[in-house]
Amino acid sequence: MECYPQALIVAKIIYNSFLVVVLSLMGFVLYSMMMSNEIASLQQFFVCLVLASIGFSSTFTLVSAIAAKAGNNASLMAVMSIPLVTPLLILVLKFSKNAIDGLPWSSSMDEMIQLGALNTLLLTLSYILFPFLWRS
Amino acid sequence: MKKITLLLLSFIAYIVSSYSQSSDVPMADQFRADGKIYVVIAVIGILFLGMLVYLILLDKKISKIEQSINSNK
Amino acid sequence: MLNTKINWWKYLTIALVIYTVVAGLLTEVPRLPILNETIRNLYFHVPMWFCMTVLLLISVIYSILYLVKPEIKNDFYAVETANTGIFFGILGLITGSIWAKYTWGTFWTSDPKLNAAAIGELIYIAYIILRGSFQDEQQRARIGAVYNLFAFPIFISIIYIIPRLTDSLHPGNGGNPAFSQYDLDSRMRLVFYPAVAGFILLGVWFTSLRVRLRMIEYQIEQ
Repeated sequence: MECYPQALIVAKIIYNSFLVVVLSLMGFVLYSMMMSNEIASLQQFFVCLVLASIGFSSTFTLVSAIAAKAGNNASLMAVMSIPLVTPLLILVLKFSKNAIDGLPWSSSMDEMIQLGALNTLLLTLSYILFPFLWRS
Repeated sequence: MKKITLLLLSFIAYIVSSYSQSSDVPMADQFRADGKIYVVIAVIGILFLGMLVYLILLDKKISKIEQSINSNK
Repeated sequence: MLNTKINWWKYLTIALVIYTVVAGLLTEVPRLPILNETIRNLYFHVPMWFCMTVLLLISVIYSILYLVKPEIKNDFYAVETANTGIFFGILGLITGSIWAKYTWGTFWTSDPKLNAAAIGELIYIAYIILRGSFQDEQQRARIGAVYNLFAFPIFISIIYIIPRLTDSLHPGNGGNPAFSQYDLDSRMRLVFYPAVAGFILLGVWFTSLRVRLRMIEYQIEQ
């Protein structure tokens, strides 16, 4: 059976984003049990959560593949991934702040579109670039 | 070498002091009195300094290659 | 006979840079409060960022070329343009910081554009670190190219897109009007565009020197 690198990266990203969503949901439930739930708009918060997980996992999957090629250096992974996720982080911070304050959907529309665009960009880049990592 | 530099320095100092004595000589005093032009000078100076650092690094790299060529002979 | 003629574009670079310094200091500029004469820094600080972006774009193009056609020369161009890009970025950060001290009051504010520029630098420093962790030349070149391709769009989004959404002290961001609206008038354009072109060409010149050096090094090793 032939192994397609594209299939591999897509599968990994789906698995990782699922994992991140589950983990963050668990964290959310735990936090809202231990502290009071201050989030005004839960729907917005979950949309933000899902978008963030997809973005993070597609970045981290490719970066960890790069780090693996460089001899699985843990500090290298951190050095590479922290600056690369900052645009995502900034957008997610703004979006979740809006959700916590309970602003209407229209006010975080900009962030949502941007997050979607950034996610698409990261996904396509990972999809295109992974075969080159795989080949060597 | 030292003597020459000393001579040159004293000459420059002489020229500078002889000029600074008279205040009616037209100089770019306006230029120095103007707002914040020194910031622009600092910025240009830093660009110049950065390029000099770049030049020094390049110089070092070239001498490294020169040495490696000479040692191979 | 050895051909040691200097290319025409290098003369153009010299002319443009000299023009930038002379015209940048002598021409009339709009009189604005707080900025005062420091508005002239537009000719020296802002082109650094244009130069960095263009150099990094060239770097990405060579990375794509390397992935399509793995020749070591393409990799040399990719890494050296990135190096020069980082160099110009650092100059931009320092000069910007001095400009900020005398107009905004501090060397460093948590202005989104400043932080974005610093993070952009970090992305490319990580690129250099990544390359340093490989022994094999081919491996280093290929993985470096993949990282470079992945990082460039993120770099652009950090430095040009995200700061536009937030409040910034920089013109053209947040609620502030862009330079083009009031003070980048036709007189300033006459100096600003040649300045940008001159500094970009200077960056290309720097890069070409380093690439040639690398090629010589490579040929000696062979």
